[in-house]
Amino acid sequence: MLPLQHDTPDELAQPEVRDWTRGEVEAIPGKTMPKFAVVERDYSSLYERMVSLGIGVRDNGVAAHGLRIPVKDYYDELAARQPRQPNGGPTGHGLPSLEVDREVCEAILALDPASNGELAHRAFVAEEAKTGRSLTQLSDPQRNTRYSFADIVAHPPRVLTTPTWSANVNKGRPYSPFTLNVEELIPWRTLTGRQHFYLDHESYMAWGEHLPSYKPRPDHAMLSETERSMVEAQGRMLNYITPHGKWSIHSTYSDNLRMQTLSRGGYPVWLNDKDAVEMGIHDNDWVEVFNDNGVFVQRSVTSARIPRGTVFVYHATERTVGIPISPLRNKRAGMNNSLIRTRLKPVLMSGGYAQFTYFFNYWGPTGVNRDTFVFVRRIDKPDF
Amino acid sequence: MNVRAQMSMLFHVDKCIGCHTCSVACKNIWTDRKGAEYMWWNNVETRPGAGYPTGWEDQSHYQGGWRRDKSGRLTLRLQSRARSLARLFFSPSLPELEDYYEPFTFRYQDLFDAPASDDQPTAIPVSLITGKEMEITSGPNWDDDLSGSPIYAANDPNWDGVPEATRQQMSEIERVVYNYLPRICNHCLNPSSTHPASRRVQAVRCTSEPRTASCS
Repeated sequence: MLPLQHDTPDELAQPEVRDWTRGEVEAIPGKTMPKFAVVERDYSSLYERMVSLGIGVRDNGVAAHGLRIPVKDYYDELAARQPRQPNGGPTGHGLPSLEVDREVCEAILALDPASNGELAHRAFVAEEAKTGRSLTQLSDPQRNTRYSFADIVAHPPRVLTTPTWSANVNKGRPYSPFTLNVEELIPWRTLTGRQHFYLDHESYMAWGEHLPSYKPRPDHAMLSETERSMVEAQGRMLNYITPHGKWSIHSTYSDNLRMQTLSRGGYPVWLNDKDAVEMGIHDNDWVEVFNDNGVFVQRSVTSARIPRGTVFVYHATERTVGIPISPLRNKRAGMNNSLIRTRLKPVLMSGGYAQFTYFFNYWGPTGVNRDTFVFVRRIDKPDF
Repeated sequence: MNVRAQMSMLFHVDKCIGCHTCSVACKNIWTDRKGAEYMWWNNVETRPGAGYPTGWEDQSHYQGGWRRDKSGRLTLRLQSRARSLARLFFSPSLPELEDYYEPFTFRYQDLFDAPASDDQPTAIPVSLITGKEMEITSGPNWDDDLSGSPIYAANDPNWDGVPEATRQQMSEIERVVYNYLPRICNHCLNPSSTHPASRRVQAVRCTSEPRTASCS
């Protein structure tokens, strides 16, 4: 099953919200419902398929932003350089191997326009055909530039200008989104080709989000994540948020010893200093943060920079270093997301209409899970 | 201009966002070895705060800086030639390990070797000095981003003489102000530049340019 796809004619499939499961419209795959495709699996060769790059890439090219970029020659070169199943595949060189991490990196570097100047050129050729603008002058200076894994180990190079991103980074210019749209008049990939402030879509209107609008903090009674823990709680309920970490990209690098050293040797629970006094918590005391969803145990940081009534823990923590047993729940305490629950945002589930159409890691329902309520209590001694 | 030499590392303090990339680059190249764990010759501090080593600006304690002698010449407050000799093995004014911090690591091997249990294993903190289990109570940027502001920011020696009303503002969320202070010894470029008590030949450039708000 495949959702209606962004940057394809699927974007015109559903100008109105009609639900076939309720009989509001006839169920037509690819129009009023997702597409279906029959996939044959050869389970005996599952591993081989997992560790090699299939010929679909060779035949279809790579695609992004509605551009199809032919990569056949680079696929064949890759297959010759890091073959899997010798003499297999369409060229007799075997399929490119993805068995070890380095091979995966080489495959990405070989087939991505951001690291292969010729492919950036081909992407601009495709964009020229789509937009009628003259664009290949942007890729000409770097057309012969290519980066291998050894290159990026030796020295971090700059990415190349490519229409699969949206910035002109030539001549040392820093990446700034949408400069290609503004300067080269490449239309935004929206219904009108322009940026949208007003979202002309009935589900956005139904939820009151067709214009930027103030939404109050969710009410704890509506969230219903503190009812049972209220019994074991002492003191007040606090609003829990998990902003992006100061030094980590999600969990990456956060449990590196160097960054742990710069992060008080853990994943601190930030509290307002006056709230902390009221709760009998001193700076660096061990605290237990809990609600109906779960529990998190770490040392506290008390600070004047945190608003009253707020607890925050930088997301996303790991459970590998220094996580004690929770005295309340009598099990190893969880991580920052143990306290929250995923709720899907309804407007992000409407698709099949212009820029609101689904694409993997691009547009689709996110878990709006960064806001809930918790209780915090001091604990005397951590038990690992 | 054809630049042939780098004379010094400079920080644009207005642009510093406290990312510590400069600290980590310095740490990785110069003090990434046994015995040097607590050393951060480049660090980034949050001001107001206590800094690293703790309270380093309190010269009544550490006796740093210079003063003018009777003939009007600048001399070090901490020592003279004669005093240096007399105190060769006794430097009560210099910071000690507890003024820096007790470096730690985690017992990562426990993640592999822990016995079967209902709970997943976790690597507990141990001291890099004694090897024993420890409570982590300090670090090279312990007061980062106003961490523990009632203790550290409130006792910044630069705030001596600041009126109480102004200090109170420090603890009000709507009025709180802080900034980052990146500090570098520059020994890697100019070995005798800042530390008259030691002269080191460290003539290689730092490997990372400081990251600022403009390049994020």
